[in-house]
Amino acid sequence: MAIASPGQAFWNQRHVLAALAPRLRQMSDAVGRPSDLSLRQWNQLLAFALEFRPDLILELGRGHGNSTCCFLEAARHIEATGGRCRLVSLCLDDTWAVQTAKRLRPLCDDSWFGRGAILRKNILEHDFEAELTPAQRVFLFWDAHGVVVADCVLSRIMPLLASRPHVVAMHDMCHSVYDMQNRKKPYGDAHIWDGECATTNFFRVNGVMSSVTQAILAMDFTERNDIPLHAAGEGMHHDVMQHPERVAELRRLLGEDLVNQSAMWFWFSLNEAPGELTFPRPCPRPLSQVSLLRRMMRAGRRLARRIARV
Amino acid sequence: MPITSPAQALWNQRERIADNRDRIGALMSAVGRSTDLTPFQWAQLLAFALEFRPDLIIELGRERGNSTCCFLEAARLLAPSPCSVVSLCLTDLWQRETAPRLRPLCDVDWFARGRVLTQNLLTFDFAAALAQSRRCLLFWDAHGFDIAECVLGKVLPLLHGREHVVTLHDMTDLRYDGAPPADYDEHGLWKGERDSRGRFWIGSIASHVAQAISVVDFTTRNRIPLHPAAESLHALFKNDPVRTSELRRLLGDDLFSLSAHWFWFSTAEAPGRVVYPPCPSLNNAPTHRGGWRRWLRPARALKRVFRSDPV
Repeated sequence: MAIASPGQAFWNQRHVLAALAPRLRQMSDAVGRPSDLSLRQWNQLLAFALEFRPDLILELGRGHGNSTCCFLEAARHIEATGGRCRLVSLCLDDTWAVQTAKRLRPLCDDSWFGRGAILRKNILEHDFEAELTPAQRVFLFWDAHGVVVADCVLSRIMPLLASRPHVVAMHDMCHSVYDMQNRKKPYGDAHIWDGECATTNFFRVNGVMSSVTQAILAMDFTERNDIPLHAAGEGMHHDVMQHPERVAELRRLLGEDLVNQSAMWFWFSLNEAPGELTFPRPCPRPLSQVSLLRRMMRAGRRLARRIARV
Repeated sequence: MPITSPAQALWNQRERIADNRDRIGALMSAVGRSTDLTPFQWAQLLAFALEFRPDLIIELGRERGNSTCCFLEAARLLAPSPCSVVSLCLTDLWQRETAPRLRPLCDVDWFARGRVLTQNLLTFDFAAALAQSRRCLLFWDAHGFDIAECVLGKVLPLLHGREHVVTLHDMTDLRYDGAPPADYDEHGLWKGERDSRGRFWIGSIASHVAQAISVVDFTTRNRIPLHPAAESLHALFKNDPVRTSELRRLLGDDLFSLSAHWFWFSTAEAPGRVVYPPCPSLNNAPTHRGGWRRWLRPARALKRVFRSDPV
């Protein structure tokens, strides 16, 4: 079954979004970081998730938890409409537990929180095989940066997803046509992108503007597997903005500011691959901190024995 | 004046290259690293340089000196027109190994056309080197984002007022150069500038060098065509059996190929004002950005302390 574009999803889920609009706004305010994920992106991602109806949403990278909140809301709505959905969120940051969850308590009940396993954990140490075993339909949100995480996603997680219906949504990537009003291209004060992630030094390559390494590696991965790397903004353009009657209705339902083709996120799915798939060979897993500590203690004991012998 | 394409250059210079075929073979054997620069790349770059007729060739990255040798040969063939080569690399393999092997083949004048320097190009005074030049060919074979920032932010603004062409090694066009298998090889993902093993595919470009990303970014921003050399070879020769057979007869199968695995561009082809990235320090190696956070990663910090300078 073809995956509905973010634009089609936005249109199909318009009444749900309209009903949830005040609640989403309250949640976004409670998280208090609209610069990390705008309310427009909240609505687009929520619609995309609702339309896809995953039974597992895997969130890589959380920060303050804008998207966590958005996907917990998606899980709530999927369950309310007869489905089931859980969220597994992985991040090194504990801002969710320390700040965000507390601010959300007045808005969300225990069952809302209960659908999510919000883990403060290194993504590289998570057992995705076990996590994905019961899942039939997976939505992966990729917002953790760097080569090492990309290696984990592309070499360990994607082979597990390939046999299931899935989508991978990627944050922090803009399309130079659909997402950008100002298409001027000077570097300004920015340096060339030097491989560092999430800085203000952006690269523009193949219609993609980004500053995160995984954008390059996702382009590489989708190119090798001959699958499209979709700009969400492209879907918004073709399935919403090109239809004046849809735009008019959406603006009436949701307001002016939420109806815009700019999305600034991308998505892909191996379900769209025309042929055999290829994955990078995984790098060796890093040793966990516990095993590193054990090794250091063992080395310390050996050293102490040697000193004692001397 | 439009820049002659690599294919047209090869066609125009075919007799000259054929006349020097034995000498080219001897030079390549003396350098002894035909995997670094293949014979057909030698012929293509030599023809491109001869056709462009630069008065200065700047080579960034040299190692054993295949391309150094190729460009010094171009300078010899361009004589009496003045043409000099400035070659920058951190290695001294040329002085220690390659040059002694070339001495039986090349006279003092041949060597004298080149300033073959063991120097960090980030600290090189390009303004002084370019001061007398009116027509420059830049060969870019030094890797990394630091170097890309230096070339794009410091060298290209100096070239912009002059006739110039920038040639880039280590970039493959999947449409013309032949696509390798899509499978990731044993090196897995491309892991950033210091890793030269894993490859990335972006659009029709495959490469393992960081500057390929910076160059695609630069040419995209400036709407400058980034030409795969093989594009012109395919356009001119692929459906022309007469020319193809003549080139094969004159040059042989080793010096003629429709593949190239190099690209070129010139800011002279920009349709508007050219924008350059800021270069943090003009004559000093740029300080690494990232601040104290970089030092929180002990393994990387240690590598940084003990590694040699880039190039």
